[in-house]
Amino acid sequence: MIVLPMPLVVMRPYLTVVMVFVCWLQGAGVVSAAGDLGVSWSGMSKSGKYLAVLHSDSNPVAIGSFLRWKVSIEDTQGNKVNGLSIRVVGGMPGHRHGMPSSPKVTPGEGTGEYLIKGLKFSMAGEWVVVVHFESTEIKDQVTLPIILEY
Amino acid sequence: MILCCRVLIVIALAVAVSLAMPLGKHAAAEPVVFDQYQISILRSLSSEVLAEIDDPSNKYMTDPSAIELGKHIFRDTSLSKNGKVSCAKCHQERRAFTDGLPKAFGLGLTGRNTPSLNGVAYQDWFYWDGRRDSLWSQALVPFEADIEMGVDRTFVVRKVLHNSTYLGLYKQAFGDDFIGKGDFWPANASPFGSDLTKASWNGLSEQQRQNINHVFSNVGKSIAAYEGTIGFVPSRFDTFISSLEQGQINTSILSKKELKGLKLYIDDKRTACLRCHNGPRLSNGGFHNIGTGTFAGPGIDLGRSLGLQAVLVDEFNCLGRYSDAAPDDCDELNYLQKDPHNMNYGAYKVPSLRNVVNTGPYYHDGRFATLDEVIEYYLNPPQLPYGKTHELTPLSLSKDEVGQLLAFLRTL
Repeated sequence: MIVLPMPLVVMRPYLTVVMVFVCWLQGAGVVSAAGDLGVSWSGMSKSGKYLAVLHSDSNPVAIGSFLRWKVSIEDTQGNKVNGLSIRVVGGMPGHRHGMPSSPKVTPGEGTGEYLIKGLKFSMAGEWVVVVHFESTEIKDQVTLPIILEY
Repeated sequence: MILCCRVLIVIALAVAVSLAMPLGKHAAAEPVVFDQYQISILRSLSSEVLAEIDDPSNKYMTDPSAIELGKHIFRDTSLSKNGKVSCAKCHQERRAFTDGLPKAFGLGLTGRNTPSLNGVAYQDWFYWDGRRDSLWSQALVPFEADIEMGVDRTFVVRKVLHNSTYLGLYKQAFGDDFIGKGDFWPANASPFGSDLTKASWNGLSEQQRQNINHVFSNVGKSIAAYEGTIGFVPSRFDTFISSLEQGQINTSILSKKELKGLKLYIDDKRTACLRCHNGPRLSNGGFHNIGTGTFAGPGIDLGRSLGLQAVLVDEFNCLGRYSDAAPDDCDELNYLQKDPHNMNYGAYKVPSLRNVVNTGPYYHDGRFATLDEVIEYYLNPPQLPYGKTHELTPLSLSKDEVGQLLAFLRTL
């Protein structure tokens, strides 16, 4: 499965259609649908061994509000990885500033699922979220470009 | 259905604006058109989407007695060292609750510009560097600042509790916990101030200090409750946005020049104003480095870099014992961006642009008297010394476009 390091589902319906079409053309997996199901981004890790899926229940993503997000890490067999220590950082490289807050990540209720609290985006535009994850055997990261609109 | 409505609004706006233009020059007849996405941006700027004022750390925010008490205290000059300074000295209602000065002057000249209180309760951070995380904890600071009101916390609480009108309102709002032993509190005691004042404070038991702090924090909460009643002054821009919502474009609200300025304002490629001045407050509430910090010399001012460290050690912050919030409700503090370097070094809080024409001088140090000078700054942002940077890219606007942008800002 080829996974694009870009949002598979974006906020505006017509963009969603375009992105799904692009993903279909390239054989990429669509992680989530728009609307009530929220919005997800996914990308392969730096080592190429793990897939990170970042999910927001809020769709579109509200600008300026603290939102609860989830992240999961899967290996190449599709198994979700438990017991990871995860750190989320990011910013807007094009604007020369970082995130306005410092999110904290804790294990979620589901298997291999982690809860992100304190994530906030202060403006629309091209953000980058970097998910660092590690355990005694793993140390890797995934960079996810996230484009937000008002 | 919604899509159809939006299309109709675009068409209506284009037609209506074009009809309203004087029939002279060809260019003047060209309509100002907003597409669907631009209209969705405009909706996001509407004051009608402002959320309810919510400060979990102050459960008295809408209490009528607290509001009344705060209103009195806000204007009470007897709570200052020389009997002439109150909150209202710098926050003057007729000037959008500013003072019109580059830098505030209480007992002496301060280092910062007085911010407007219009809509202040919608903010998450207070002071230009965000060194306080609630309106009530901010309101306590000027009492004990040498160059603002120059008194101390026992002076303040004794004055409030010994005034029969204040005491009645206080008890109605906050009850009589903590005030039973008020008569035995020393006249002048505080962890700050003169050696004598600090010695008096150090001579108190921990329980006495906490009782004093409880009453002092309630004084701050009453001031915040009053300040929470100070809203934004409705503007022509609000009327324009409301007309959009109703699908009835009234071209007498904004001129073509102002509409062109509005289009520039929401154009991320041309002005990028929305990056910081977005949402219904026309501020993202955050801290940004636009090259205005002073990194050396007598006027050194590092902005958010120091403010974020100050709020963490403030005993009156959201997580402190005098806060009414549950720890989980203190999102801003719990998820504080603590990096004192990088983006926070020389960064200041983004002010609201609502009513901006009445809130000058501008910037944290009041360096610009007019909005014209502010726009000029964005056209030519400073080159900073090696190793220092900021977020601005010079804007490229014609003289006419600058005039349009200024015209729009004056509608806010």
